[in-house]
Parts: sequence; C-alpha cells; structure tokens
Amino acid sequence: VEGSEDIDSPKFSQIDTILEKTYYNVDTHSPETLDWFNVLIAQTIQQFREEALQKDNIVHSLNDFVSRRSEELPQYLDTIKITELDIGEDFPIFSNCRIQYSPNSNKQRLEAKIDIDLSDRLALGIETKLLINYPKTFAAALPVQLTVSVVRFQACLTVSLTSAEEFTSTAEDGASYETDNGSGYFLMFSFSPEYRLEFDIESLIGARSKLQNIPKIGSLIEYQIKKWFVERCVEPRFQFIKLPSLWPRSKNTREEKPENDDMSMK
Amino acid sequence: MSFEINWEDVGEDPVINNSIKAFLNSQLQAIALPSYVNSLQVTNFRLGHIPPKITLREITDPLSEFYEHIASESEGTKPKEHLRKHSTDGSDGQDQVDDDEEEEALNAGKDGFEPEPKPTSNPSDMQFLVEVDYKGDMTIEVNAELALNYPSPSFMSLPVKLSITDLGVHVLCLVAYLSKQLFISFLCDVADPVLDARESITDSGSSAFLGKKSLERISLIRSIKIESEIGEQNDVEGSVLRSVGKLEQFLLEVFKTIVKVEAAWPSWINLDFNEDDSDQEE
Repeated sequence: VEGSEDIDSPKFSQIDTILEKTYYNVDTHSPETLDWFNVLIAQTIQQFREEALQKDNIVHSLNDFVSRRSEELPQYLDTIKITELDIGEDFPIFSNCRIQYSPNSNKQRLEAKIDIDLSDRLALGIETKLLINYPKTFAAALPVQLTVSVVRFQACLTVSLTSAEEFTSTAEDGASYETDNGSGYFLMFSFSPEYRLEFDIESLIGARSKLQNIPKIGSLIEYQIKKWFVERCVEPRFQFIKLPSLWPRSKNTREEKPENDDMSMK
Repeated sequence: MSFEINWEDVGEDPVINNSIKAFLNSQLQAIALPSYVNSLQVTNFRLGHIPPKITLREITDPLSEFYEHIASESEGTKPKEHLRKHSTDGSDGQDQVDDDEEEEALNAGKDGFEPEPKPTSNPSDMQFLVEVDYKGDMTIEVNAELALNYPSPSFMSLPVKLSITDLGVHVLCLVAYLSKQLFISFLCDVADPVLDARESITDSGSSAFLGKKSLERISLIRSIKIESEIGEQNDVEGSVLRSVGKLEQFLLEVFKTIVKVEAAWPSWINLDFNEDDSDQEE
C-alpha cells in the first residue's frame, strides 16, 4: 500500500538519503542483536534496584503516595497498604532489531522494531478492604490481600523518533504537548498487539474465614491491568515522550568521580 | 466469618429499620387475609444488636439468569419506546436510532436492541456465594385486628399485638453485582441434602443446581417465635385463644411465604443503583 504520490516529497528523499548514508537497506539488512543495549539497560536497572533496596524507599514512597491520594480512591475501597514489592532480579533482553518504514506512512517515517523478552518476578502486594456501603456507609468490610506479579513479558516494540505534528493526544482534558513544548523531537514507542503478558496473582479474601486464590479475582485483575496497558501503549496507541536537549551545556558537565556511566536512562 | 460487619451503625438505624418496615407492610398488603383477621400491619421493626455471621464461600461470574433478567427488562421497556417514538415522527431518523441502540448495547452491555441471547457480560461483574448464619435479636411487631366469629359472624373484633422474635436462619445466599444492579437470592439451608451431591453449588453455571420448586427444599427459616398479646380480660376465653393461635400460625406462614416468594431462588431481591449514574468509569 506504499503510496507513490509522495515518493518525490522532500521527506521521502530525506529518509532515502539517511538510509543511503548510514549504509542501511531496509529490505536486505539483517536483524541486529542489541546485546550492548541490554548491558547498558541492565546496568541502569541494577543501579535503580540497589538504590531501592538500600533505602527501602520504594515501598515507603509508594505507601506515602497511596495515602496522600487516598481521597481519590473509589468509595468501595478502604485505604490501601503496600505489603510487598519485588523489583525482580533479571533484566529485559532486547533482540532482533530492524529498521523499517512505518506502515501507513507512505515511506515518510522510519521506525525500529525490537523484540523484547522479560522473565522475572515483578510483584506488588497490597492489603485493603472492600467496603460495603449498603444499606449504610461502611456497613460491612471484606478484607482483601493481593499479590500481583508479572512473570513473563514478551512483545515486539516499535520505537521511532519524530516531531509531534502528525499525532493527537488521547487524553480528554486537552493536556497537549502542542501548547507549550510542541517543538523538538519525541521518542515514540508502542507494543504490537500480539504481546504476551503473564501474571501470577495470589489473593486472600475474608477476615477470619478466608478464600484463597480465587480464579475470578485473578482474571478480574488481569483484565484491569491489560486494559490499562492496552489503552496506553499498545498499537494503535503510542507513548510519546519529549526528548531532552542533548546539546552540550556547562550545567550538564561533570568530571571523573567513581560513578557509572549512564546516559540512557535516569 | 469473612465480613467485618459494622452492626452498631446498622442495627439501630431508624432509616434502615423503617424502610424494612415499609417493605414488609407493602408485602402484607398483597396477602389475602383469612376471615378471622381484619387487618395486619407491621408497627415496629428492629434489626437488633446481634449481627449475622457472613462467610464467603465462592466468587464467580454471575449466573446467566441475572443477565437474562436484565435483557428482558430492557427489551420490555426502553427500545420499544424508542421505536414507537420515531416511527411516528417520520422515517428519517429511523436508521440513525437503530445504530445508536446497537452501539449502546455494545458499550453498556445491556439495553440490547437486537434480540440477543445474552447481554454482554462485563469482566468486572461478580457473584458471591455467601453463607449467612443469623441467630439474632431481630424483632417485628405486628398489629392485627382479630375478628371473633363466635357466637355469630363478626361478633366482635379485637386488637391483637404480635411479636416475632428468635428468627434463626443458616442459609446459602447468592449476591451478584452486574450492570450496576445488585441481586440477592437465598438458595437453601446449609443442611439441605441438595448440597451433599456436589462440590460447588454453582459449578453447573445455571439454575439447574437447585431446581425451581422451592418446596422440595428444607425451609429457609430454622426457628421463629411468635407471641401474641391481647387484652387481659379475654385471656380466659378459650375461643379467643384458639383464634390467636390460628393467627400466629397464619402469620408464620405469611412470613415464610414472603421470604420464599420474594427472596428465595428462583426469585431474588433486585437493587438497582443506576439512578446515581456516573458514566465515567476508569
């Protein structure tokens, strides 16, 4: 469906030149491993985990966050307490990276397709109460303990760098990037719909007499998480993140001190 | 016991007690009274201080009967009205309306315009199977006008005050929540032999598990006490006492019938929360 009417447009020839001068033929170039990238990402994640473990601060800050926002919880939920947080010990593996023209873009845009595979245990445990507000507010409460873990994630990631023009925000409040920071480049990523996301969900429901690991609860939570995920970053939805300026500035300049290099993530 | 019940707030709440009283009275209106009773009215209802013990036994998807009920309700009312309205004001808007209806049916999972076998279920619909164990101090006070038909018909009428206490039930109960409606239905006594045959009471996925004839099951009410009070001077009269005994018996039957007909499977109590609709759901 690659349209021919735009084939002479400046954008197309720009892309054509880029591909030519980077020795990349979209049709014949073989997929690359991203081993170097995996190492850097793993290093960043490792550092993040260490900080989190040393200060034990994620659970606290999450709990603070949740209690600060407890006003916004739906009526049927009591305050939420975070009981467990497992940030995993494995790293995502990116592989099979190739550049292609974005579908439906009339060869106006390039994107990278990357396979991602993560086998780990990323878990969040919470404790709360389901409040029954009938016939009166707080008439009854049902204690609920939940541990939700992601154990496997496999997907094909699409990444591209683009300017904002061609896309609209899905947020309804009109919070748009176009108003204040519409210029510049954006990192755009999305997962293909054929992703695989596996959960391990444990539930314990009830006060003195408890029900354990009810399948219905598991499927309910899985549905909600997948819904959240699909609505944000599964095609045709994209995540759109403004890139910071990489122009060398004195305020960004540092000198040697035993710190790891990291320029890929925060 | 799975639920922590905040009974202090509920049991003595005048609003709740009065609304139950009103419900019982509306039920009594519909009942044909025997010749020896002129009027029957609930004058006081108190839930009392002792809460029921509620234990969660299963959490599943709601039974198909509840969806069928919602489907038949909406078929019977809304869409037909739409049709009628638009067939009178010209044919232009007709197709438009049909599309809207269909879209609505897809979005809301109900209000089906096309005859659908089942309304679409929402993954967040849920059904609890709970065990309710109640041996509390609920009291119901009933005023009756007793007609004495001896020695002649309607010889005199006597005001009688009856009190119903010591209600004991230990039943399995379904509580389903779907499409912003709550369904409560009493299934059977926990000692009912119908339960012995199966591991899970709802695993068949349909109502077949209990049959529709409620009479074949053990009564849902395990114990109940009815006492009557009439003017002292008549206490010695055997005929009066006999009629009062009959009245007590009658009231007992009335009470059991209300529970059976209104709240026991295949009937249910349906609470609709759609009025306070806030369309935004995250």
